[in-house]
Amino acid sequence: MEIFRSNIWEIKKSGSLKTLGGILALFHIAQFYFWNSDGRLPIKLVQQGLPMCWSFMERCEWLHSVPIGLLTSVYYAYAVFAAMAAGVLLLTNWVVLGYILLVIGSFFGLTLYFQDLRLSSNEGYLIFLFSLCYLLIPSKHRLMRRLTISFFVAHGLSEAAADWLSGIWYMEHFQVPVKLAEWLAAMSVLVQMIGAAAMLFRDGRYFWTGWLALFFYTCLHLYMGDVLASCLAIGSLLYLAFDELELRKAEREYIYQSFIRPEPSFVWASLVLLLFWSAQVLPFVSIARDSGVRKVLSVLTLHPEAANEDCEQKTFAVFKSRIEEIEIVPQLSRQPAMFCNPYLRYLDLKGTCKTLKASHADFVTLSSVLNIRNFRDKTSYRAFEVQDFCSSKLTYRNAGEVQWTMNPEK
Amino acid sequence: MDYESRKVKWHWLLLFILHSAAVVYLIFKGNPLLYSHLELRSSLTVSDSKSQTTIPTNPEVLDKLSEITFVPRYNLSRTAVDTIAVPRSKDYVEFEKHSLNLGVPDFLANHISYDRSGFYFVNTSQWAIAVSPGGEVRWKYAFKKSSAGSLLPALLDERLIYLVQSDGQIVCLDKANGSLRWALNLKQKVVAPPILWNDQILIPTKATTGVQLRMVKRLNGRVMEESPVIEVKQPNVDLTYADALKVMLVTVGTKVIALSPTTWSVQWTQTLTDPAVGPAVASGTQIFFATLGAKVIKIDGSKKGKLEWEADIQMPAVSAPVYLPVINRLAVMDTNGAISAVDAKTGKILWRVASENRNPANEVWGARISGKYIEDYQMDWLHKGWTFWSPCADSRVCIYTPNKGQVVDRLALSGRPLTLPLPLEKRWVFISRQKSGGYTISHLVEEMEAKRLRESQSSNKTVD
Repeated sequence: MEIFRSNIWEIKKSGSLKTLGGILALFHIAQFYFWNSDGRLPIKLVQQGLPMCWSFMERCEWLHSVPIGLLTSVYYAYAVFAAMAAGVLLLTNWVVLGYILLVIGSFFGLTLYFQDLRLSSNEGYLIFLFSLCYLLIPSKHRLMRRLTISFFVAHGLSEAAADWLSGIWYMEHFQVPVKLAEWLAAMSVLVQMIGAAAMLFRDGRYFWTGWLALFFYTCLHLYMGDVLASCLAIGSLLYLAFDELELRKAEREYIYQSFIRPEPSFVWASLVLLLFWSAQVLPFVSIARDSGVRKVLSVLTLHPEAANEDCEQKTFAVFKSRIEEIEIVPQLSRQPAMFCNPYLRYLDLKGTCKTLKASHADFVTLSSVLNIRNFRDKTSYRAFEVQDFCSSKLTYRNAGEVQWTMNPEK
Repeated sequence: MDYESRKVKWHWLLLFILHSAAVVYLIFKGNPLLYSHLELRSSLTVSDSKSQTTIPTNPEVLDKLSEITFVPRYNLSRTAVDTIAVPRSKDYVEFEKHSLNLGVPDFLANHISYDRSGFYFVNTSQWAIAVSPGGEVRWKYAFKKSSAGSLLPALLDERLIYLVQSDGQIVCLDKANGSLRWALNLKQKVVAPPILWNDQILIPTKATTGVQLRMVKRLNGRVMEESPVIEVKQPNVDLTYADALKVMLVTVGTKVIALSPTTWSVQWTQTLTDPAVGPAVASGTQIFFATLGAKVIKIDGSKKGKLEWEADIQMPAVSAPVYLPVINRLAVMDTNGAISAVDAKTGKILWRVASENRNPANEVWGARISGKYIEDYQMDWLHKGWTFWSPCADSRVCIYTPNKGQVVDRLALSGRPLTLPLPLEKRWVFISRQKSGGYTISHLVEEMEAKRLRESQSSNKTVD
């Protein structure tokens, strides 16, 4: 219990950390809102019955063994506890209660989040990592400031690749000429990586220049429709501003400060930052695809933001006396970076097999081919090519045995 | 609370400058074209190596290539003459007719291809439907609903059918059961009907400066690297093969281009006075055109397309002329529904008769009738009974003598014919459309043959 006591003491001591707790609780509410607007996504994925495992788990069917009624209760309890935590931390001085509510809310959120890899997103990653660090890791001021800055820099780093720099994201969200979109993409990398790094300095000129640049950049993205990520970024920036102002005030009132308790150690915070950055440089180092290190670290790696892959899928619905080329409607909400994921496409096709079998008596099977072009490393490959997708023998792992041919990985 | 000095230390500043430089380096490494007028996205698409791979990558290949069984206007020379060598009767009866239930709501046939195995309907954008000569739907194939392209006439050989969409999608199916052999996306706009040429499909596609002929192997869908570009302003090309000249004639608007089918180099070009209607019609070294300027034109292919004659036919033609061999006659239908016959040697207009055609089909074709009618209709024995056949009036087909345009017979159909008929021994099979909008397959069978068939049918029933 000492760990909780010391964490609560650290939060109680600082108004900006108390506010950060409230902001994090609001982040959870935003996460819930977006899940809910996707048709109660965590519940929907469990109901579909084909879980997508996180890279560090070999099998994850057991995660879906939780009764649906219980999971629904957890789902709504997540929102209720997050809302109560936000109210308590932002409107009252009951830090202990707010802390406990946020711990419970985060626990429920994590239970839902780790049900299925399809729920993973950069936004979810930020919310849960920040929440865990906020609740459990000491030396919060420095950790949260550096973690926020790291997020901006790492995000910029993941965007410093051809796919984002081609400006496609800006062209999709805003009617701009191609060259202007390219320049906007370049400027966004510049602002995130340099502006965020400038906030490491205590000198007001550097800090506030970086802060303002990021704030305006985030507002522009909010205007363009990138709602959740922009709200999270604005919330984090607001915390940084409160923290900086509080620090300056504390410096002015130095002699009145209490030093009964020693300053918390930065060792744990350093370890978190080291782990975070190890994961972010993972795409730039050559580690075997199926190594344990990669599997674990890839959980902490940010998803590339832009449409880094372009995929072309052709699917033929084979009936007894006709073939129809059909468009597979993605049954699952997903991150743009996961759009071309062969496993997700596999799950979609399996779902379509079930639907068509139920609705058409003369339905035989689906044949499907998925080509993926990766703009990041400028390669293209055929992810799968399966003639009989509805065969009960076909699983993602043995798909090569159900010809035409299948190449699940490059 | 941590207190840190606000003063920026020089080594941190240096690190910050190095970091900023690294960011700028990363940006220019990611987008080296940032300062150029070129676009990064276009340069990225170049490396798309899988885009023209067939589905499946290695299709099951037939042991040998089969014969081409359908060419619009009966042959690649586009002469529109009967493919059955035996002379025909003039008396036909509608022996059997089959109303079609194609099973696709509001299906409107855009093109119909056919051979002995049956009829292959395609509508504007999505559906291809195979129907047996007996009117039974054998199979269907549907392109993606969202597809923007329109379907071109199906290409047929003895075992396979090739469906081409104008957005470059090509599908090869087994003709017998409609199962998929291979599919390919050319990712180029197809601008004119493709043709089967030897072991390839010849596909006219849009190029930056004209029309590019893309060649795809019929057996496995492999795209050939060879892809000659024809420099023309309009994309709607028509292809004709002149066997005697060994050239592929490309007609586009007023321009005629003769290409070598082996090297695809231009042999000669000729400009017509008016835009041609339909493809060129080739016979020996003679090449004929009907034009929008109400003319029939002959050029000599052996003299680099030298103009031989021009004949005025009063009204613009609606289709390419039919060429009757031996008797050397041309006939063409005009926008008034009148048929004009032209002497192919001299260009003299021989006669003009009103067909009063009210059918969607508007092409004249040629066929031989048997010797017993030659004298009856004062035709020359030397000319071996060649006659003109044409849709006429409402739901009728008329037979005309080549010398005077005298009507030999009027054959009744239960619907309005849509295309040239499928020629079979002792019968023609027509696809026609009812006034109600439905499609019908009508078998016009020679009267004697129909009698024999009825007798054998009734005797079979008696035995049963």
